Amino acid sequence: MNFDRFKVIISEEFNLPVKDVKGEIEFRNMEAWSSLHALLFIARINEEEGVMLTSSDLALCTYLEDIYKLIVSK
Amino acid sequence: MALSKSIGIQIKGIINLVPKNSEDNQSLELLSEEERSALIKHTGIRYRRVNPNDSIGVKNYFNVGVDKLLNRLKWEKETIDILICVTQTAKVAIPSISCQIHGDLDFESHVLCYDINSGCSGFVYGLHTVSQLLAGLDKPKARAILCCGDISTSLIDSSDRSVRPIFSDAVSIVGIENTNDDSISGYFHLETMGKGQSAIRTELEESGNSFMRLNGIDVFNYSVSHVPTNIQKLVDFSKKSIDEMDAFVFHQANKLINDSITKKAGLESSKVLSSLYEYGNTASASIPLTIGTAWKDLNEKSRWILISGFGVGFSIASAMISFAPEFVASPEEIEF
Repeated sequence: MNFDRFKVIISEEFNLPVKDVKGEIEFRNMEAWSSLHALLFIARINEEEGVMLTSSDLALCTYLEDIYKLIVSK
Repeated sequence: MALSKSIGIQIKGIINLVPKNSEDNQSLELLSEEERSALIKHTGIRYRRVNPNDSIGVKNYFNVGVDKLLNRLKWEKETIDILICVTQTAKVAIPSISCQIHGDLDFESHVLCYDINSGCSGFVYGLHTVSQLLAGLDKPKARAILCCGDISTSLIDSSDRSVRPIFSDAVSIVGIENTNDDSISGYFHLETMGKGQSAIRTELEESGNSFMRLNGIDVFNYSVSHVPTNIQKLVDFSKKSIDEMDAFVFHQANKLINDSITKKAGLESSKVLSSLYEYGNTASASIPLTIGTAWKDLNEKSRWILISGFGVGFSIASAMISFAPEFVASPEEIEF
């Protein structure tokens, strides 16, 4: 998965225009971030990339870029 | 690897009970209108049953259900050998609920009674336990009653946006008999991933209340990563074809989890039953209650079904069972 694809997924799951999705966004501050939307995002990454992110993984992340790097590293 | 078989054990009847009182997620004040719609769409849960009376506990529902089961099966109390209760919401720790029911309903002293502390996987664990106990009794046509369920709403913080929209109260009472037929009646695969124990837990608050807390991401991860594998090992062990199953009945966690498991396990989605929309997550009653909602459609054809419970523990239990009971009652509303 490249970063452009990651931005599209973030855009669709958190109702943000793609152009506004930046790596330096603190994802917990996104308006649409909630336990349900986080779960939907995790499920989609699992389905599309075969990568399972855990709550411990997310706890170590601050920015969207951190999540992207984590997905790529897995 | 806890794989096992049961021989000659048959479910004869199932009673399902729910509180008459219900809540609608479409009008849940904790969430915005947009959040409510998203929640219902992705969890599949619209309505939840809520026991309205704190003085009434799971035992009261079990007592009513046991009485109804005995009447409907025309079983005399003296013919019952085993009474097992699966619950995590007993109002008192001592004595066990099964012993309380034994006393309340005046069963005879020869009945074996104990409780199993289990939630989402509890029906399958209870069925496995009862099957092994029945097979070991020195009595032909031995009979058991298995009570499953929780008043989960007694553990819910009404301000918790993750837990409150999901959990619902229900019990199922199951009559099980050793038919003394020597053919295989079930295959079981029971597993535990205790590293995931904190995914669903109760926490004691400073106020003295104990509330259930849920880590949705970890529950999803454990369920989707391990349940399909658990099912595949069960199918391999049974040497049966998955196509021989007339229905697949999962613990009713939520739609997102159950759909993901269905897809990963390669199961035919038209055979997967659900009661989520009407009844939510009904803990250890969820599998028999879900069968009860679909029994009229299954009645003519069902002979083998695959069931799988997973959750609190983290515990996973699946089984393929021969299934031809006399009845499975639709969920009946109860008001005390």
